[in-house]
Amino acid sequence: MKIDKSKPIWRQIVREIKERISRGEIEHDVPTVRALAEELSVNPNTVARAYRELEREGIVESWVGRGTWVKQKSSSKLKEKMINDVVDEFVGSLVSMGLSKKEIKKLVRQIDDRN
Amino acid sequence: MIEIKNLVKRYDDVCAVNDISLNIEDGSFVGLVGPNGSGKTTLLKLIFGFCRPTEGEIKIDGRAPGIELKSKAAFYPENDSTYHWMKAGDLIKWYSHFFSDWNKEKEKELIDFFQIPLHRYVEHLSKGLRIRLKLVLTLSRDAKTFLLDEPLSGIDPASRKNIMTGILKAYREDQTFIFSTHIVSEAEMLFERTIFMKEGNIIIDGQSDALREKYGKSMDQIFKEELYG
Repeated sequence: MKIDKSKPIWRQIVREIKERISRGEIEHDVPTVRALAEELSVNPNTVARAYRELEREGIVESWVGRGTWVKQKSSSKLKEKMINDVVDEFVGSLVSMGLSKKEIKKLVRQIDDRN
Repeated sequence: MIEIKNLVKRYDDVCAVNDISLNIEDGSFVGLVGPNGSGKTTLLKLIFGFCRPTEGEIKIDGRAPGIELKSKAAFYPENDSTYHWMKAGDLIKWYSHFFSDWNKEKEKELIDFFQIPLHRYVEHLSKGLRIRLKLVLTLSRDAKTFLLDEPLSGIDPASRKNIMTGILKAYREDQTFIFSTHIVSEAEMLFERTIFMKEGNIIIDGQSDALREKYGKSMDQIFKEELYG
């Protein structure tokens, strides 16, 4: 993971953990705060803040002394949501460039020919 | 908790610290960032009680810096150690006897991580190794507060990450760290809060992630653009 130091780091960690869950790299146990802090060379409190946010969003659960783990069904729901987010962003930026929905649909149909 | 109120320190005509007020909560990792001569070292020395304020006051857990504080706080000085005639291992052993909060496990972890050659004389160590040795002496304690004055100065860019990782390994979340530096880029991800100083004043002070949100810049960019721009 490459951290962009000009954007809030805790948000980037939230996103990274969501991506790892949706890619199946994290199936159950989320790395400990310490382990992830050392892996990313960031302050452990920043990681802890990201984990609190993931817990608030209902993606992970934690228990003092037992660590943090992914809630059941989180991974498939997350993947679905992340795909939707990417599509929204993609369509949004094309719309802001002045394309109509019809033109975007046409573009998407052409993907097959391009690859 | 460290409470600083209207702190002024003048040397002859020069105002090194110019009317600073700030609070530092227990358990925060604070970056004290500014160019050389901005007052960072003076501020750290005032907090530790190495020198006395011209005006204003400092309170640590409700009391002025005194003997009691020195048993609870560790200071990393930028100046090189004077114990050049000792072997590194002997120096660590001798130094450890001064402190009741010495943590033997931490000492071992840091010696291994920084690869300190214990059998060699301090005067024969490279500058980088002497800095690492000084960090072992400072960080092996279970102190409540750590004041680190420019631990990255004298370290070549390729080794800065190694120093930061060593500090991260030693740091526990209930300890307060105040870390002064003019080398920001390699250190900023450890700073929960960053205080920018210029000419004895605090120019910008905030939670690092909140400052990233507000300015859309890294602490290093703020340091270069807002302080010099």
